[in-house]
Amino acid sequence: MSAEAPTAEGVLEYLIKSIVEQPDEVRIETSGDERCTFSVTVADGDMGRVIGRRGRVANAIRTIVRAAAVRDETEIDVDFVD
Amino acid sequence: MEWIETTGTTLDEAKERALDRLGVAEDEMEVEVLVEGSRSMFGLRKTEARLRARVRPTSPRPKVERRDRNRRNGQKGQGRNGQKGRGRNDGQQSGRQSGGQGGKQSGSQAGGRDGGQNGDRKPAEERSEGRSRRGGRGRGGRSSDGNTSGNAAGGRQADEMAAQKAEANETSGRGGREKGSATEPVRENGRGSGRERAEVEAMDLQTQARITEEFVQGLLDKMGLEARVASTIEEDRLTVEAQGLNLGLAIGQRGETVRAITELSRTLVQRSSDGQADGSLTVDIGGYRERRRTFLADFARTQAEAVLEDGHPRALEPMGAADRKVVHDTIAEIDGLSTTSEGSDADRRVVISVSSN
Repeated sequence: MSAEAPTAEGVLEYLIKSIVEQPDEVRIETSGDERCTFSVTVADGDMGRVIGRRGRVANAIRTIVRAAAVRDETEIDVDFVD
Repeated sequence: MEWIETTGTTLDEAKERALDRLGVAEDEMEVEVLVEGSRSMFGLRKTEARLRARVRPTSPRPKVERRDRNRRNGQKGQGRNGQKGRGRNDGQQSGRQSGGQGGKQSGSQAGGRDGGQNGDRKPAEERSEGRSRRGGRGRGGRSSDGNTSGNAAGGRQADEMAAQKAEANETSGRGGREKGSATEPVRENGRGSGRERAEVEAMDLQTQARITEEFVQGLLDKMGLEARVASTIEEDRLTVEAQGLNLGLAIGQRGETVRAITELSRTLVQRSSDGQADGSLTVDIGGYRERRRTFLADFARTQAEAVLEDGHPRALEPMGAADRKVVHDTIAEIDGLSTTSEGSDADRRVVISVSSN
């Protein structure tokens, strides 16, 4: 039985798609048993946007998605896959 | 905006101080190094680093990146601004769409034509150029009249920026840009210089408000929170605020989620405006920032009294730049005390002490 975090995933997708240039290229994979791990893939040119300078954008995204995961009563990780 | 001067043993330290005093995020600050500062062989300080800084009236980002993005934008069409529906646009459809809008928007007779009806089978790249041209025109033809000496790339960049700007304004629904409809096409005639880029009109606060409101509202919806989002604009400060019950989730421990949402909102606005967003943007959720400000000011005053009483300095808990600014400002109103910031990054804290003079 794998973990699910629908609210967190919805929020993650919303945030990433708001920020990238090519929302169609956004892929989010979910893995993990007790703890959900989202692996985010974006178009080549968009990775920098999602990470931001010194990872600030990425960290902001993680913070918000973790907050959203409270709704799903679970904890999550977000990985950005290059 | 006023310039301030700060010093430090290193440039980083001087910069941190400037951030404190201005109370803004790093990318909202404009810095000029006055003295680099140097150290002797044994690490003893020789000269202090000195710089001057101010809140950026606009926050330009590297130009190369800008151009790249515009080009890409041209290919996949516009849509930096609306979150919704952006994903559905394929290049052609949206190219045409932006062509039509550009024409209408710049109020120029040729505007809609080459991007829209005429240019229907043009490659995406060309279409984006068509768009740029219109944008330049819509802007009042400043670039065509002004500078004929700049290089081609510069002109193109300026045009493209103008195009984006035009787009941004257009989506905002406020006409405002019609004044242009200059007669001669920018590309044939004028090549804007690099300098001119800075003159491109910045995104106004109303547009920023609209983008941010939409983003925050959408986010809170996704989080399953019910809130009403509204904006207030005071001089050059935009505050977008979400009100509702049980917004704690979107506030987070010590406001970390509020800060993250603010960070992303700023990123979004800067990107939508191509780095030309005016003023400062703050997002507040459920009145958190206001409560925090009141609490911090009270707390700082209590600490100040203690320092005045026994003369011992007090170091407060580590805080973000905005919070530190509240403390600095509060203490500045009290005679006989001064504040400094110590530590770096997440460990940075304000120290209240008795003024030395």
